[in-house]
Amino acid sequence: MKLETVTLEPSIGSLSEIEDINLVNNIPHLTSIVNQMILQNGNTTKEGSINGGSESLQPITNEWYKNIPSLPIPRVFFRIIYKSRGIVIDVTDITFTARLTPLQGDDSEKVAEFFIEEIDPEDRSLIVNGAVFYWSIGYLDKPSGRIRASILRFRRFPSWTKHSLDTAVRRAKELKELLDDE
Amino acid sequence: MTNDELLPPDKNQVEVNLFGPGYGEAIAIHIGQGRWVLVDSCKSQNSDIPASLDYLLSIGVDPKVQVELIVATHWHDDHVRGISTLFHECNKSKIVISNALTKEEFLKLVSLYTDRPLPDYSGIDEFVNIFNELKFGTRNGKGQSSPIHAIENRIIYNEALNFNKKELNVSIYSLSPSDTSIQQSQLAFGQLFPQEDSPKRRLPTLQTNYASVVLWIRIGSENIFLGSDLENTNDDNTGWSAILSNQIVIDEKAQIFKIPHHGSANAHNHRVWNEFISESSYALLTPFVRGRNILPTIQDVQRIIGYSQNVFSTSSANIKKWRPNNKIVREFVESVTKNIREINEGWGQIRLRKNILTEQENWNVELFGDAISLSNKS
Repeated sequence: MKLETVTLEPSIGSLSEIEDINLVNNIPHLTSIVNQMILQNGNTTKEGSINGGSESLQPITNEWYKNIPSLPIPRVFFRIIYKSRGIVIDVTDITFTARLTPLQGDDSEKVAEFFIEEIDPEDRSLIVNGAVFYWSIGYLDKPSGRIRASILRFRRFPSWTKHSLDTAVRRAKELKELLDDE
Repeated sequence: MTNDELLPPDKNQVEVNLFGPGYGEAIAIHIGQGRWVLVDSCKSQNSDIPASLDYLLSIGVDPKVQVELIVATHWHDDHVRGISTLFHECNKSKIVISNALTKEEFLKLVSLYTDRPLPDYSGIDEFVNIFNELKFGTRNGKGQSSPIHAIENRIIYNEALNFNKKELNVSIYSLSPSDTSIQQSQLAFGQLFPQEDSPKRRLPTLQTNYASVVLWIRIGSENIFLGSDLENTNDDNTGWSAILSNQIVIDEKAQIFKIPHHGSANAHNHRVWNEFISESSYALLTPFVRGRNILPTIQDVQRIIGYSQNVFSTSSANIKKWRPNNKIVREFVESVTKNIREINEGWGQIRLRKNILTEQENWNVELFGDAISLSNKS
């Protein structure tokens, strides 16, 4: 039994790219992952359910995915001139300070103090010591024309679950036994 | 470095190296007879390998057999980057860790970040790797199974070495953390452990470094004092006050002083200079560029050169206002930020060598890269 994973184009790489594109294009993710089980039976390939159920098997071709209709893609592009990743190192009522590592369009580290009012209100609760954000500056090309844009978005990470916290406490006890002073 | 400069120290020479980019610090000490002690770690100038390892390899030292001891003075990113690599490569070495970092509250944080829940680097990652090395014995199956715990007034290394048929004792002591510091650090680490359903984020750096390990190294009659990042506190039982009150190790003044916490005013203690440091000492520091400020400040330098005539820094890091070349970038930078500065960290090495058998000889100081004499700048 052979498990094959197929990824539809276009694939989207880093989370920041997804955020950039979604932000300006407002399109759903175009990447999806389809799992198949292909049962090899001589020269016949068959498609089955993921869990190997007992549904009747139909012969398929290996290029079945080409029949999926393509989605219309709005012609909106964000052309990045400068991009950096920031880590917050200090926060006040009005500003926050961050160390910036260049990702595109620059080659040296910076330290910058940002006005909090320039940050999307939805992101302001994320402005804490240690928070990570991406800052991109460039041109937004839309069918209606080109405008200049600056986009600063904070990374959102999943929350800590009870399971992960309990696991950490258990592992810590095990580590302590290993490290205890002899 | 020239070919002569790449020669290793003579067996009877003591050598002290301080490496420093503008954000990072590492020390490599030759204690004699081809034996080395490494304290903290930072990246090398031209590669990602640890600076101390890069240097040892460049002068023909075999780190697998010649490094005796590695000390992690605390857990901050700028002091431990690459230290787990050092520990892995230096098969014979033992590792010393602050006792505060072997307690359950810190270990909970290490365990939490073991599975790399965040993509960015943190000093915690180095301890995850070190503890894995200890647990699974991956250094060719050799080495210790638990670290040496550094606490106040503890001897962590003691050997009698033969220098041209003259036997000299080499002793290394940890002067901190104190018991109270260890307790305070647990409270602080405990507050960093997240609540259920709180969003994951990078561990912030604690404002007060309670866990820091200060070292006193005695080689024959030479004394080397490494101040790590220890600061003054309001509590007589922590920070420099605790060392001044409790230490039982120091009976002669140090000739070499690694100034604590990048020369900051918070870490300056007049009594430490007066009671523990020789007037003819060599004082070394690394700069620190992170937030709006650079350490040491001009006032810090002026203060320090009042205590020593031989003050050196691994670089003269500076920050200057950034004015982007691109008009669009400049427009947004000026509107979105209150200020933005470009960091010029520099990278340098300070090396001191001396024949241990010649008591009257001065230390020979060499400066490489961007390392400078702060005394000359006064």
